[in-house]
Amino acid sequence: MNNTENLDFLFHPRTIAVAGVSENTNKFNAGLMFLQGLMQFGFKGQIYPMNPIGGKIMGMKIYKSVKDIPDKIDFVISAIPSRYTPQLMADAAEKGVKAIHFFTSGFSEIENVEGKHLQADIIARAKAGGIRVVGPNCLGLYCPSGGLSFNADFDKASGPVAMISQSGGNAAHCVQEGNDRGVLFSKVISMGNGADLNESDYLEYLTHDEETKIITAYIEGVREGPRFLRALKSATKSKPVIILKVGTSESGAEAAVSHTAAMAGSNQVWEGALRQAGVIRTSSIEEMIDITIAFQHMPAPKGNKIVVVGIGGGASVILADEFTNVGLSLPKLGDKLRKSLIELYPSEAGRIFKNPVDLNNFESSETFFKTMKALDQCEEADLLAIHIAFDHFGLISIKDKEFMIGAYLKLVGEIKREIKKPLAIILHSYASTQMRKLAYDAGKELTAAGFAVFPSIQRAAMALIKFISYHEERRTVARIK
Amino acid sequence: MTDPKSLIYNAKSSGRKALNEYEAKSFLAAFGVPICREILASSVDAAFAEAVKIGFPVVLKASGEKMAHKTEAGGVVLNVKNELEIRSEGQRLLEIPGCEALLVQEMIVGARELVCGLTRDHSFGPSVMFGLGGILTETLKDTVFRIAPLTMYDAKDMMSGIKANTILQPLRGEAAVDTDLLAKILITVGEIGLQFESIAEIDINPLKICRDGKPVAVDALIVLTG
Repeated sequence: MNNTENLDFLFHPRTIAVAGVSENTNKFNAGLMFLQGLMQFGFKGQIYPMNPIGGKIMGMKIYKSVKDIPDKIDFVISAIPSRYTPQLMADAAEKGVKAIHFFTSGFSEIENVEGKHLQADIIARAKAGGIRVVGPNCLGLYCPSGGLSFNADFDKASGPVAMISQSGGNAAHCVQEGNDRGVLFSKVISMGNGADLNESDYLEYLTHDEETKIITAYIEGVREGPRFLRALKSATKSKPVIILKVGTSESGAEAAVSHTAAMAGSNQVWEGALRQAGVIRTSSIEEMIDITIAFQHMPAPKGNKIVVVGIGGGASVILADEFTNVGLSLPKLGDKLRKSLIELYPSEAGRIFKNPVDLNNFESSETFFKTMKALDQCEEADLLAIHIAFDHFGLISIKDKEFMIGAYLKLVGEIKREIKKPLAIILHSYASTQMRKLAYDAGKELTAAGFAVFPSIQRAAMALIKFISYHEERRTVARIK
Repeated sequence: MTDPKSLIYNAKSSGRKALNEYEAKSFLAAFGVPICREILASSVDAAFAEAVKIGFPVVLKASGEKMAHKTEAGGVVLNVKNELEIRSEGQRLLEIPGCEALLVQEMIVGARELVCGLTRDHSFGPSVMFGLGGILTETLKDTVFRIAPLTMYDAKDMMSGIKANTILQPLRGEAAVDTDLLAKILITVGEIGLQFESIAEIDINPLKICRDGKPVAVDALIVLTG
């Protein structure tokens, strides 16, 4: 992969010019939003507003052209109408700008001839001027280590997760849901039409990016299928790649003669291609975040056997069904382990020492520690999960539940260092507003402590089976090769 | 053995959009895909003579350049057991419009029918399909795809990827499917797709599993590009 382009310059510009910043702050002005976003996010370099009329904004001079700025410009954000973009491109080429992000829309995505021609025109100018283009028609880049963001509310801390998105809205959703659940990002690229740099360019770059350990992507379609497949195969050799591929409702070729062509819906072929490339395919943004959380917080399991501990008897039964139905393996606890667990408690009454282990309530932190320690050291489990059903205690008042669950969560929080096996925490079944709030706050706290936290049994089951299958397949492939 | 390139060339130069069953199987056989024993007979007398060589029972099919959907036209007769049957059925087939000759085939005994095919995906190019064959292909839609070229791992992963994957295990006195041989067929079909731009689609359906577990192509279709 010697010809992979190093796109570091995109994510670490020293200077940024924003085209389309109006002096009039009373009306909607995307240029101003990008400018303010960067400043509030804490971009460390110089930012220059631009606008053909000139003027002043927040005490800064608005330059009429990129050529007038008395500084070298690395990166331009364009929020001007599309008809002015050829001129901007010409000026940027003359100025020696390295890259332009076009928030500007009105190109190939509007499916008219003018839009397609205009896109071809600016891309030809970019190529001639040695400028790389992000977009057009997109939100652009979020890279905390480079001080870049299209939204000042995004987390300023860097993390291991990268995202390539063919939708700006879905990128924004992913970052916000991810941040809220403890996922931190290295680079997020809202890539728009991908007229110059496309999904394969970004994927090849992220494969070699040291800041990125997990790659996620929202994909509607690709421009260079064979290249994208090669890039995926290469990426999955070193990093988990999690893709939300949409368009599952497309049907097979209508004019097909053979059975094969009639069966070959684009979705079926994509399913095969992603599987062949070792990609983890997801069907929703929530699931993509869930799987990412597993990879971010859980070490690789040695096998597929999971032992679950929890409170909530009925919930444990539901969990056992859900887990088994997706293909997770809940091993029987051996006699030795069962005995050692039973010995920790005064009696078996109200508790079930099977898998899931249903503890119902907790005697002391010491007992809980010993229980978890015994499971961590047992031969039966490759992974552990703790689940808490928040609204499963029929006899107890909300107030007492808050106290009881609060005490339990405190225990869970304290075991982190002690447990070596991959551990998932499932906070679920919050039916009342009070418990929902408690579960949400607890989730944030445990997430911050570095736990993989899931909001329902089903979502934990889906994320865990994909996480475990990924590691199992890698072992199988390694064995064959 | 016929040169596979000339089969495509001849079909194209006579304006046809597909290779018929006999040609398609000759083509596939040239790349090592196992096919059933078969021979074209121009008359009922010749068909009987060939059936004797192959051994009864046989399968008798109507063959012709324009016969793509034989079954729908009533052009397929299974389990033809003797001279009387081959003469009466042979005469009937020859009267079907478009029928130019009789294809006499050995009757493959086995309960399992699979499908292996090729299509060209607009994003990824030649893609290989594997799944349940015969009438189950389009009713159950239990099929999976991979992009050519396929590795041995990909081919085996396709087999475990269908829902009905237990069909590959020993079944009612029939041996487990020879998955190595089956994998080779899938890989070969992918290679053909990469090598021959002029082939748009391939169907090997059914790819029948003999009682000893060996896969054999008993019907095939090759569609050529525009």
